[in-house]
Amino acid sequence: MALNANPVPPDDDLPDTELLDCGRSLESVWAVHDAEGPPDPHLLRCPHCATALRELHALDDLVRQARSADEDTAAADPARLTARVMDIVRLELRPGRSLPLGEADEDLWIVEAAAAKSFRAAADAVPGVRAGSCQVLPLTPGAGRVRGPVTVRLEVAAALSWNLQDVAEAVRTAVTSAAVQALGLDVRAVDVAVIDILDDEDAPDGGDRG
Amino acid sequence: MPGDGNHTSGPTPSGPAADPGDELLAARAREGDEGAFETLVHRHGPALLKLAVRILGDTAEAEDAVQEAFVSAWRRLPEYRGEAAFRTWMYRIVTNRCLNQLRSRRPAADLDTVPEPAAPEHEASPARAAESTAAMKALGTALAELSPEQRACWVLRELHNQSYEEIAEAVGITHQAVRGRIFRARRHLTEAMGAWR
Amino acid sequence: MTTEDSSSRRQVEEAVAAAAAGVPGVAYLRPGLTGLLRARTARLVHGTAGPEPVSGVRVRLGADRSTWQIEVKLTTLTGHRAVDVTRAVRTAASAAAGALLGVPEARVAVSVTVTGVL
Repeated sequence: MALNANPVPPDDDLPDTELLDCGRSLESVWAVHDAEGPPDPHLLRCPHCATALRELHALDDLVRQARSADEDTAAADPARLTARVMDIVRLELRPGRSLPLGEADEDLWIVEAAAAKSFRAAADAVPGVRAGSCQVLPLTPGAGRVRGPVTVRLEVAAALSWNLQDVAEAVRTAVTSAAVQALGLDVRAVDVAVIDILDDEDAPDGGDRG
Repeated sequence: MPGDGNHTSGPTPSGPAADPGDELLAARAREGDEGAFETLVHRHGPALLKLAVRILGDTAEAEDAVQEAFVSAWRRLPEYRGEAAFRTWMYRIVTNRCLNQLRSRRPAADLDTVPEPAAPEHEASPARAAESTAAMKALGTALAELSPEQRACWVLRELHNQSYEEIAEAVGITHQAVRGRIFRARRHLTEAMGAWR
Repeated sequence: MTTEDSSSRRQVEEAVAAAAAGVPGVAYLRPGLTGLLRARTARLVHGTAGPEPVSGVRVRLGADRSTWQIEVKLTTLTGHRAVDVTRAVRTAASAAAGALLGVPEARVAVSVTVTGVL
Protein backbone atom coordinates (compact mmCIF):
# COMPACT_ATOMS: atom_id res chain seq x y z
CA MET A 1 0.00 0.00 0.00
CA ALA A 2 1.67 3.16 -1.15
CA LEU A 3 1.05 6.17 1.04
CA ASN A 4 1.35 9.76 0.15
CA ALA A 5 4.80 10.70 1.39
CA ASN A 6 4.12 14.45 1.19
CA PRO A 7 3.37 15.99 4.56
CA VAL A 8 0.16 17.94 4.90
CA PRO A 9 0.86 21.69 4.95
CA PRO A 10 0.11 23.37 8.26
CA ASP A 11 -3.05 25.41 8.62
CA ASP A 12 -2.24 29.07 8.24
CA ASP A 13 -5.69 30.52 7.61
CA LEU A 14 -4.59 31.91 4.22
CA PRO A 15 -6.94 31.17 1.38
CA ASP A 16 -6.05 28.06 -0.57
CA THR A 17 -4.91 29.11 -4.00
CA GLU A 18 -4.15 25.79 -5.57
CA LEU A 19 -4.93 26.01 -9.26
CA LEU A 20 -5.71 23.28 -11.73
CA ASP A 21 -4.00 23.25 -15.09
CA CYS A 22 -7.01 24.92 -16.65
CA GLY A 23 -6.62 27.87 -14.32
CA ARG A 24 -9.62 27.15 -12.10
CA SER A 25 -9.01 26.94 -8.37
CA LEU A 26 -9.40 23.49 -6.88
CA GLU A 27 -11.44 25.02 -4.10
CA SER A 28 -14.01 26.46 -6.50
CA VAL A 29 -14.39 23.15 -8.30
CA TRP A 30 -14.94 21.31 -5.07
CA ALA A 31 -17.39 24.01 -3.99
CA VAL A 32 -19.57 23.03 -6.95
CA HIS A 33 -19.50 19.45 -5.69
CA ASP A 34 -20.62 20.72 -2.29
CA ALA A 35 -23.41 22.67 -4.02
CA GLU A 36 -21.87 25.77 -2.56
CA GLY A 37 -20.80 27.35 -5.85
CA PRO A 38 -22.83 28.19 -8.96
CA PRO A 39 -23.04 25.49 -11.65
CA ASP A 40 -20.35 26.11 -14.24
CA PRO A 41 -20.52 24.92 -17.84
CA HIS A 42 -16.72 24.86 -17.95
CA LEU A 43 -16.75 21.84 -15.64
CA LEU A 44 -18.60 19.74 -18.17
CA ARG A 45 -15.91 20.18 -20.79
CA CYS A 46 -12.68 20.42 -18.83
CA PRO A 47 -10.73 17.20 -18.20
CA HIS A 48 -8.77 18.73 -15.31
CA CYS A 49 -11.88 19.75 -13.46
CA ALA A 50 -13.48 16.41 -14.24
CA THR A 51 -10.51 14.62 -12.67
CA ALA A 52 -10.70 16.80 -9.58
CA LEU A 53 -14.39 16.02 -9.21
CA ARG A 54 -13.85 12.33 -9.82
CA GLU A 55 -11.28 12.17 -7.03
CA LEU A 56 -13.72 13.79 -4.68
CA HIS A 57 -16.46 11.35 -5.68
CA ALA A 58 -14.09 8.45 -5.05
CA LEU A 59 -13.49 9.86 -1.60
CA ASP A 60 -17.25 10.13 -1.10
CA ASP A 61 -17.58 6.43 -1.79
CA LEU A 62 -14.99 5.67 0.83
CA VAL A 63 -16.79 7.93 3.28
CA ARG A 64 -20.00 6.02 2.69
CA GLN A 65 -18.16 2.77 3.33
CA ALA A 66 -16.56 4.23 6.43
CA ARG A 67 -19.96 5.31 7.72
CA SER A 68 -21.49 1.87 7.37
CA ALA A 69 -18.36 0.22 8.68
CA ASP A 70 -18.62 2.43 11.73
CA GLU A 71 -22.21 1.22 12.11
CA ASP A 72 -21.19 -2.42 12.14
CA THR A 73 -18.08 -2.29 14.25
CA ALA A 74 -18.62 -2.45 18.00
CA ALA A 75 -15.07 -1.35 18.73
CA ALA A 76 -16.16 0.85 21.62
CA ASP A 77 -18.90 -0.41 23.95
CA PRO A 78 -21.89 1.92 24.32
CA ALA A 79 -23.50 -0.24 27.03
CA ARG A 80 -20.40 -0.11 29.17
CA LEU A 81 -20.19 3.63 28.57
CA THR A 82 -23.76 4.15 29.79
CA ALA A 83 -23.18 2.03 32.89
CA ARG A 84 -19.98 3.83 33.83
CA VAL A 85 -21.49 7.27 33.28
CA MET A 86 -24.58 6.45 35.35
CA ASP A 87 -22.49 5.02 38.20
CA ILE A 88 -20.88 8.42 38.57
CA VAL A 89 -24.06 10.42 37.96
CA ARG A 90 -25.88 8.50 40.71
CA LEU A 91 -23.27 9.72 43.19
CA GLU A 92 -24.01 13.31 42.18
CA LEU A 93 -27.77 13.55 42.19
CA ARG A 94 -29.57 16.86 42.50
CA PRO A 95 -32.40 16.33 44.96
CA GLY A 96 -33.63 19.94 45.02
CA ARG A 97 -35.47 21.54 47.91
CA SER A 98 -37.40 19.49 50.48
CA LEU A 99 -41.18 19.82 50.28
CA PRO A 100 -43.59 19.12 53.15
CA LEU A 101 -45.66 15.94 53.31
CA GLY A 102 -48.70 15.70 55.56
CA GLU A 103 -49.85 18.31 58.09
CA ALA A 104 -48.09 21.52 59.01
CA ASP A 105 -46.78 20.14 62.30
CA GLU A 106 -45.37 16.88 60.91
CA ASP A 107 -41.68 16.55 60.16
CA LEU A 108 -42.10 14.60 56.92
CA TRP A 109 -40.60 15.65 53.58
CA ILE A 110 -40.07 14.72 49.98
CA VAL A 111 -37.30 16.12 47.80
CA GLU A 112 -38.37 18.10 44.75
CA ALA A 113 -36.74 15.66 42.31
CA ALA A 114 -38.82 12.76 43.70
CA ALA A 115 -42.07 14.75 43.66
CA ALA A 116 -41.32 15.98 40.14
CA LYS A 117 -40.73 12.40 39.00
CA SER A 118 -44.22 11.42 40.23
CA PHE A 119 -45.83 14.42 38.57
CA ARG A 120 -44.04 13.87 35.28
CA ALA A 121 -45.13 10.23 35.32
CA ALA A 122 -48.72 11.34 35.90
CA ALA A 123 -48.52 13.78 32.98
CA ASP A 124 -46.84 11.18 30.74
CA ALA A 125 -49.78 8.86 31.43
CA VAL A 126 -52.14 11.33 29.72
CA PRO A 127 -52.39 10.19 26.08
CA GLY A 128 -50.50 12.41 23.63
CA VAL A 129 -48.53 14.19 26.35
CA ARG A 130 -44.83 14.14 27.23
CA ALA A 131 -43.66 15.99 30.32
CA GLY A 132 -40.57 18.18 30.38
CA SER A 133 -39.49 20.56 33.08
CA CYS A 134 -41.33 20.20 36.41
CA GLN A 135 -40.72 22.49 39.35
CA VAL A 136 -42.41 22.35 42.76
CA LEU A 137 -42.27 25.53 44.81
CA PRO A 138 -43.65 26.59 48.18
CA LEU A 139 -46.49 29.07 47.79
CA THR A 140 -44.87 31.30 50.37
CA PRO A 141 -41.17 31.23 49.75
CA GLY A 142 -38.75 31.16 52.63
CA ALA A 143 -35.19 30.22 53.43
CA GLY A 144 -34.56 26.54 54.16
CA ARG A 145 -37.42 24.08 54.46
CA VAL A 146 -40.89 25.64 54.51
CA ARG A 147 -44.07 23.85 55.57
CA GLY A 148 -47.15 24.88 53.66
CA PRO A 149 -48.94 24.38 50.36
CA VAL A 150 -46.98 24.23 47.12
CA THR A 151 -47.42 25.10 43.49
CA VAL A 152 -46.41 22.90 40.57
CA ARG A 153 -45.07 24.31 37.29
CA LEU A 154 -44.99 21.84 34.43
CA GLU A 155 -43.96 22.10 30.79
CA VAL A 156 -45.26 19.51 28.35
CA ALA A 157 -45.25 18.60 24.71
CA ALA A 158 -48.70 17.71 23.42
CA ALA A 159 -50.04 16.08 20.26
CA LEU A 160 -51.37 18.51 17.67
CA SER A 161 -54.87 17.08 18.01
CA TRP A 162 -55.17 18.35 21.59
CA ASN A 163 -57.00 21.58 22.28
CA LEU A 164 -54.68 23.69 24.45
CA GLN A 165 -57.14 24.29 27.25
CA ASP A 166 -58.27 20.67 27.36
CA VAL A 167 -54.76 19.27 27.57
CA ALA A 168 -53.77 21.71 30.30
CA GLU A 169 -56.86 20.69 32.25
CA ALA A 170 -56.16 16.99 31.75
CA VAL A 171 -52.59 17.38 32.95
CA ARG A 172 -53.69 19.51 35.87
CA THR A 173 -56.14 16.80 36.94
CA ALA A 174 -53.51 14.09 36.61
CA VAL A 175 -50.99 16.03 38.68
CA THR A 176 -53.51 16.91 41.39
CA SER A 177 -54.54 13.26 41.66
CA ALA A 178 -50.92 12.18 41.98
CA ALA A 179 -50.35 14.80 44.68
CA VAL A 180 -53.21 13.38 46.73
CA GLN A 181 -53.01 9.67 45.96
CA ALA A 182 -49.33 9.01 45.40
CA LEU A 183 -47.73 11.55 47.68
CA GLY A 184 -49.79 13.42 50.26
CA LEU A 185 -48.46 16.80 49.15
CA ASP A 186 -50.72 19.90 49.46
CA VAL A 187 -50.72 21.23 45.90
CA ARG A 188 -52.70 24.45 45.60
CA ALA A 189 -51.95 25.38 41.98
CA VAL A 190 -50.75 23.59 38.87
CA ASP A 191 -49.40 25.75 36.02
CA VAL A 192 -49.20 23.87 32.73
CA ALA A 193 -47.38 25.30 29.71
CA VAL A 194 -47.51 23.48 26.38
CA ILE A 195 -44.12 24.23 24.89
CA ASP A 196 -43.87 21.81 22.00
CA ILE A 197 -45.91 19.71 19.63
CA LEU A 198 -45.75 15.94 19.38
CA ASP A 199 -46.42 14.22 16.09
CA ASP A 200 -49.64 12.26 16.42
CA GLU A 201 -47.53 9.20 15.63
CA ASP A 202 -45.68 9.86 18.87
CA ALA A 203 -48.86 9.70 20.89
CA PRO A 204 -49.61 6.24 22.25
CA ASP A 205 -53.01 6.28 20.59
CA GLY A 206 -52.38 8.84 17.85
CA GLY A 207 -55.45 10.29 16.21
CA ASP A 208 -58.24 12.69 17.05
CA ARG A 209 -58.91 13.81 20.49
CA GLY A 210 -60.74 16.71 22.14
CA MET B 1 -28.33 19.72 8.29
CA PRO B 2 -28.19 18.39 11.85
CA GLY B 3 -28.63 14.68 12.31
CA ASP B 4 -31.58 12.96 13.83
CA GLY B 5 -32.73 12.59 17.42
CA ASN B 6 -33.71 16.22 18.03
CA HIS B 7 -37.04 17.90 18.40
CA THR B 8 -36.83 21.63 17.81
CA SER B 9 -39.11 23.65 20.03
CA GLY B 10 -41.69 25.58 18.04
CA PRO B 11 -44.85 24.71 16.23
CA THR B 12 -43.40 22.41 13.60
CA PRO B 13 -42.10 19.03 14.75
CA SER B 14 -38.96 17.80 13.03
CA GLY B 15 -36.85 14.68 13.04
CA PRO B 16 -38.09 11.14 13.42
CA ALA B 17 -40.65 10.31 16.12
CA ALA B 18 -38.01 9.97 18.84
CA ASP B 19 -39.97 9.63 22.01
CA PRO B 20 -39.50 11.88 23.97
CA GLY B 21 -37.35 14.48 22.20
CA ASP B 22 -33.89 15.46 23.36
CA GLU B 23 -34.80 18.90 24.63
CA LEU B 24 -37.58 17.58 26.86
CA LEU B 25 -35.18 14.99 28.27
CA ALA B 26 -32.49 17.61 28.77
CA ALA B 27 -34.97 19.82 30.66
CA ARG B 28 -35.78 16.89 32.94
CA ALA B 29 -32.14 15.93 33.39
CA ARG B 30 -31.25 19.51 34.24
CA GLU B 31 -33.68 19.26 37.18
CA GLY B 32 -32.09 16.05 38.41
CA ASP B 33 -34.03 13.34 36.55
CA GLU B 34 -31.17 10.87 36.15
CA GLY B 35 -33.41 8.46 34.24
CA ALA B 36 -33.89 11.06 31.52
CA PHE B 37 -30.12 11.59 31.41
CA GLU B 38 -29.55 7.87 31.00
CA THR B 39 -31.84 7.91 27.96
CA LEU B 40 -29.74 10.72 26.48
CA VAL B 41 -26.51 8.82 27.12
CA HIS B 42 -27.98 5.71 25.54
CA ARG B 43 -29.23 7.68 22.56
CA HIS B 44 -26.10 9.70 21.78
CA GLY B 45 -23.31 7.54 23.18
CA PRO B 46 -22.79 5.45 20.02
CA ALA B 47 -22.32 8.42 17.65
CA LEU B 48 -20.06 10.23 20.11
CA LEU B 49 -17.94 7.12 20.59
CA LYS B 50 -17.48 6.84 16.84
CA LEU B 51 -16.45 10.49 16.69
CA ALA B 52 -13.93 10.13 19.51
CA VAL B 53 -12.44 6.93 18.07
CA ARG B 54 -11.90 8.66 14.72
CA ILE B 55 -10.28 11.71 16.27
CA LEU B 56 -8.16 9.95 18.90
CA GLY B 57 -7.40 6.74 17.03
CA ASP B 58 -7.71 4.69 20.24
CA THR B 59 -10.83 2.91 21.52
CA ALA B 60 -9.99 2.96 25.23
CA GLU B 61 -9.10 6.64 25.17
CA ALA B 62 -12.26 7.36 23.21
CA GLU B 63 -14.44 5.63 25.82
CA ASP B 64 -12.75 7.60 28.60
CA ALA B 65 -13.16 10.88 26.74
CA VAL B 66 -16.85 10.33 26.02
CA GLN B 67 -17.52 9.10 29.56
CA GLU B 68 -15.92 12.24 31.00
CA ALA B 69 -17.80 14.37 28.49
CA PHE B 70 -21.15 12.99 29.65
CA VAL B 71 -20.29 13.38 33.33
CA SER B 72 -19.21 16.94 32.63
CA ALA B 73 -22.48 17.51 30.78
CA TRP B 74 -24.48 16.24 33.78
CA ARG B 75 -22.68 18.69 36.04
CA ARG B 76 -23.07 21.59 33.63
CA LEU B 77 -26.70 20.90 32.75
CA PRO B 78 -28.01 23.50 35.20
CA GLU B 79 -26.35 26.13 33.01
CA TYR B 80 -27.49 24.57 29.72
CA ARG B 81 -30.37 26.68 28.47
CA GLY B 82 -30.97 24.94 25.15
CA GLU B 83 -29.26 27.60 23.01
CA ALA B 84 -27.82 24.77 20.99
CA ALA B 85 -29.45 21.39 20.53
CA PHE B 86 -28.32 18.90 23.16
CA ARG B 87 -26.65 16.75 20.53
CA THR B 88 -24.69 19.73 19.18
CA TRP B 89 -23.69 20.65 22.72
CA MET B 90 -22.35 17.12 23.28
CA TYR B 91 -20.43 17.18 20.00
CA ARG B 92 -18.80 20.38 21.20
CA ILE B 93 -17.85 18.91 24.58
CA VAL B 94 -16.50 15.67 23.11
CA THR B 95 -14.52 17.38 20.32
CA ASN B 96 -13.06 19.80 22.83
CA ARG B 97 -12.05 16.96 25.14
CA CYS B 98 -10.48 14.96 22.32
CA LEU B 99 -8.45 17.90 21.03
CA ASN B 100 -7.31 18.69 24.59
CA GLN B 101 -6.33 15.08 24.98
CA LEU B 102 -4.23 15.25 21.82
CA ARG B 103 -2.75 18.54 22.99
CA SER B 104 -1.73 16.97 26.28
CA ARG B 105 0.13 14.21 24.48
CA ARG B 106 2.41 16.73 22.81
CA PRO B 107 2.27 19.85 24.95
CA ALA B 108 4.51 21.99 22.78
CA ALA B 109 2.65 21.22 19.61
CA ASP B 110 -0.02 23.28 17.93
CA LEU B 111 -3.18 21.46 16.98
CA ASP B 112 -3.11 22.79 13.45
CA THR B 113 0.30 21.43 12.61
CA VAL B 114 0.92 17.90 11.56
CA PRO B 115 2.62 15.42 13.89
CA GLU B 116 6.04 14.05 12.96
CA PRO B 117 5.76 11.09 10.61
CA ALA B 118 6.83 8.60 13.26
CA ALA B 119 4.49 10.01 15.92
CA PRO B 120 4.19 7.34 18.63
CA GLU B 121 0.45 7.64 19.09
CA HIS B 122 -0.21 6.34 15.62
CA GLU B 123 1.77 3.18 16.13
CA ALA B 124 0.97 2.51 19.76
CA SER B 125 -2.78 2.27 19.53
CA PRO B 126 -3.98 1.67 16.01
CA ALA B 127 -7.45 0.65 17.08
CA ARG B 128 -9.19 2.46 14.27
CA ALA B 129 -12.88 1.84 13.99
CA ALA B 130 -13.15 0.25 10.56
CA GLU B 131 -10.26 -1.84 9.34
CA SER B 132 -12.19 -4.47 7.48
CA THR B 133 -10.96 -3.63 4.00
CA ALA B 134 -7.67 -2.43 2.63
CA ALA B 135 -9.37 0.75 1.41
CA MET B 136 -10.65 1.46 4.92
CA LYS B 137 -7.19 0.83 6.33
CA ALA B 138 -5.72 3.25 3.81
CA LEU B 139 -8.32 5.87 4.68
CA GLY B 140 -7.61 5.39 8.36
CA THR B 141 -3.88 5.82 7.86
CA ALA B 142 -4.38 8.90 5.70
CA LEU B 143 -6.68 10.39 8.35
CA ALA B 144 -4.04 9.81 10.99
CA GLU B 145 -1.61 11.85 8.91
CA LEU B 146 -3.81 14.93 9.16
CA SER B 147 -3.39 17.49 11.88
CA PRO B 148 -5.82 17.01 14.80
CA GLU B 149 -7.89 20.01 13.77
CA GLN B 150 -8.04 18.93 10.14
CA ARG B 151 -9.08 15.45 11.21
CA ALA B 152 -11.70 16.74 13.66
CA CYS B 153 -13.20 19.13 11.09
CA TRP B 154 -13.28 16.52 8.34
CA VAL B 155 -14.78 13.80 10.56
CA LEU B 156 -17.43 16.14 11.95
CA ARG B 157 -18.37 17.20 8.42
CA GLU B 158 -18.20 13.97 6.47
CA LEU B 159 -19.13 11.36 9.07
CA HIS B 160 -21.40 13.35 11.37
CA ASN B 161 -23.07 15.90 9.05
CA GLN B 162 -22.29 18.84 11.27
CA SER B 163 -22.67 22.30 9.74
CA TYR B 164 -19.71 24.66 9.38
CA GLU B 165 -21.12 26.73 12.23
CA GLU B 166 -21.39 23.72 14.50
CA ILE B 167 -17.88 22.60 13.60
CA ALA B 168 -16.49 26.08 14.23
CA GLU B 169 -18.06 26.04 17.70
CA ALA B 170 -16.91 22.51 18.42
CA VAL B 171 -13.31 23.06 17.40
CA GLY B 172 -13.04 26.66 18.57
CA ILE B 173 -11.97 28.25 15.29
CA THR B 174 -13.65 30.51 12.76
CA HIS B 175 -16.06 29.38 10.06
CA GLN B 176 -13.46 30.36 7.48
CA ALA B 177 -10.78 28.36 9.26
CA VAL B 178 -13.07 25.31 9.21
CA ARG B 179 -13.36 25.55 5.43
CA GLY B 180 -9.60 25.77 5.20
CA ARG B 181 -9.06 22.71 7.43
CA ILE B 182 -11.56 20.66 5.46
CA PHE B 183 -10.02 21.69 2.17
CA ARG B 184 -6.54 20.69 3.34
CA ALA B 185 -7.92 17.43 4.73
CA ARG B 186 -9.67 16.54 1.49
CA ARG B 187 -6.60 17.48 -0.49
CA HIS B 188 -4.47 15.08 1.48
CA LEU B 189 -7.07 12.33 1.45
CA THR B 190 -7.68 12.51 -2.31
CA GLU B 191 -3.93 12.41 -2.91
CA ALA B 192 -3.43 9.53 -0.50
CA MET B 193 -6.28 7.49 -1.95
CA GLY B 194 -5.13 8.30 -5.47
CA ALA B 195 -1.62 7.09 -4.71
CA TRP B 196 -3.05 4.00 -3.02
CA ARG B 197 -5.21 3.13 -5.99
CA MET C 1 -27.23 4.84 77.61
CA THR C 2 -26.54 8.46 78.30
CA THR C 3 -23.26 9.17 76.58
CA GLU C 4 -22.93 10.09 72.97
CA ASP C 5 -20.09 7.72 72.15
CA SER C 6 -20.03 6.59 68.57
CA SER C 7 -20.69 2.91 69.16
CA SER C 8 -23.93 3.60 71.03
CA ARG C 9 -25.01 6.02 68.40
CA ARG C 10 -24.24 3.42 65.77
CA GLN C 11 -26.38 0.85 67.54
CA VAL C 12 -29.30 3.25 67.53
CA GLU C 13 -28.76 4.05 63.86
CA GLU C 14 -28.73 0.38 62.99
CA ALA C 15 -31.90 -0.28 65.00
CA VAL C 16 -33.69 2.63 63.37
CA ALA C 17 -32.51 1.51 59.93
CA ALA C 18 -33.78 -2.02 60.52
CA ALA C 19 -37.15 -0.76 61.78
CA ALA C 20 -37.53 1.64 58.84
CA ALA C 21 -36.53 -0.91 56.23
CA GLY C 22 -39.28 -3.21 57.45
CA VAL C 23 -42.06 -0.71 56.82
CA PRO C 24 -44.21 -1.56 53.77
CA GLY C 25 -43.54 0.81 50.89
CA VAL C 26 -39.91 1.41 51.78
CA ALA C 27 -37.66 0.38 48.89
CA TYR C 28 -34.40 1.07 50.68
CA LEU C 29 -32.59 3.54 52.87
CA ARG C 30 -29.74 5.33 51.30
CA PRO C 31 -27.62 8.26 52.12
CA GLY C 32 -28.35 11.39 50.18
CA LEU C 33 -25.47 13.41 48.80
CA THR C 34 -24.93 14.89 52.29
CA GLY C 35 -24.38 11.46 53.76
CA LEU C 36 -21.74 10.48 51.25
CA LEU C 37 -19.92 13.80 51.50
CA ARG C 38 -19.98 13.64 55.28
CA ALA C 39 -18.54 10.15 55.30
CA ARG C 40 -15.77 11.04 52.89
CA THR C 41 -14.92 14.23 54.76
CA ALA C 42 -14.88 12.40 58.08
CA ARG C 43 -12.42 9.88 56.72
CA LEU C 44 -10.24 12.63 55.30
CA VAL C 45 -10.30 14.66 58.53
CA HIS C 46 -9.92 11.81 60.99
CA GLY C 47 -7.75 9.70 58.78
CA THR C 48 -9.31 6.48 59.94
CA ALA C 49 -11.02 4.02 57.71
CA GLY C 50 -13.95 3.68 60.07
CA PRO C 51 -16.94 1.48 59.37
CA GLU C 52 -19.30 2.61 56.62
CA PRO C 53 -21.94 4.95 58.02
CA VAL C 54 -25.38 3.45 58.37
CA SER C 55 -27.26 4.15 55.16
CA GLY C 56 -29.89 6.80 55.35
CA VAL C 57 -29.96 7.29 59.13
CA ARG C 58 -28.41 9.97 61.28
CA VAL C 59 -28.77 10.12 65.08
CA ARG C 60 -27.55 12.88 67.35
CA LEU C 61 -28.40 14.52 70.64
CA GLY C 62 -30.17 17.84 70.12
CA ALA C 63 -28.93 21.23 71.29
CA ASP C 64 -31.09 21.01 74.42
CA ARG C 65 -29.08 17.90 75.38
CA SER C 66 -32.28 15.97 76.18
CA THR C 67 -34.01 15.34 72.87
CA TRP C 68 -32.60 12.87 70.37
CA GLN C 69 -32.77 14.02 66.74
CA ILE C 70 -33.18 11.23 64.24
CA GLU C 71 -33.09 11.79 60.51
CA VAL C 72 -34.15 9.11 58.06
CA LYS C 73 -33.78 9.34 54.27
CA LEU C 74 -35.31 6.70 52.08
CA THR C 75 -36.67 5.70 48.71
CA THR C 76 -40.31 4.62 48.55
CA LEU C 77 -42.06 2.27 46.16
CA THR C 78 -44.73 3.50 43.75
CA GLY C 79 -48.09 2.22 44.76
CA HIS C 80 -47.56 3.34 48.35
CA ARG C 81 -48.58 6.86 49.33
CA ALA C 82 -45.45 8.70 50.37
CA VAL C 83 -47.02 10.43 53.38
CA ASP C 84 -48.34 7.11 54.76
CA VAL C 85 -44.96 5.45 54.38
CA THR C 86 -43.14 8.29 56.08
CA ARG C 87 -45.65 8.33 58.94
CA ALA C 88 -45.18 4.61 59.49
CA VAL C 89 -41.40 5.03 59.37
CA ARG C 90 -41.59 7.82 61.90
CA THR C 91 -43.58 5.60 64.26
CA ALA C 92 -41.26 2.61 63.83
CA ALA C 93 -38.09 4.67 64.15
CA SER C 94 -39.36 6.48 67.22
CA ALA C 95 -40.26 3.23 68.96
CA ALA C 96 -36.96 1.52 68.11
CA ALA C 97 -34.82 4.48 69.17
CA GLY C 98 -36.80 5.14 72.34
CA ALA C 99 -36.47 1.52 73.41
CA LEU C 100 -32.73 1.36 72.81
CA LEU C 101 -32.03 4.76 74.36
CA GLY C 102 -34.32 4.10 77.31
CA VAL C 103 -36.14 7.41 76.91
CA PRO C 104 -39.84 8.21 76.41
CA GLU C 105 -40.79 8.78 72.77
CA ALA C 106 -41.46 12.42 73.54
CA ARG C 107 -37.71 12.78 73.80
CA VAL C 108 -37.18 11.35 70.31
CA ALA C 109 -37.75 13.67 67.33
CA VAL C 110 -37.85 11.86 64.01
CA SER C 111 -37.63 13.58 60.64
CA VAL C 112 -38.27 11.50 57.53
CA THR C 113 -37.43 12.56 53.95
CA VAL C 114 -38.28 10.74 50.74
CA THR C 115 -35.26 11.14 48.48
CA GLY C 116 -36.53 8.95 45.67
CA VAL C 117 -39.48 6.97 44.39
CA LEU C 118 -38.91 3.63 42.70
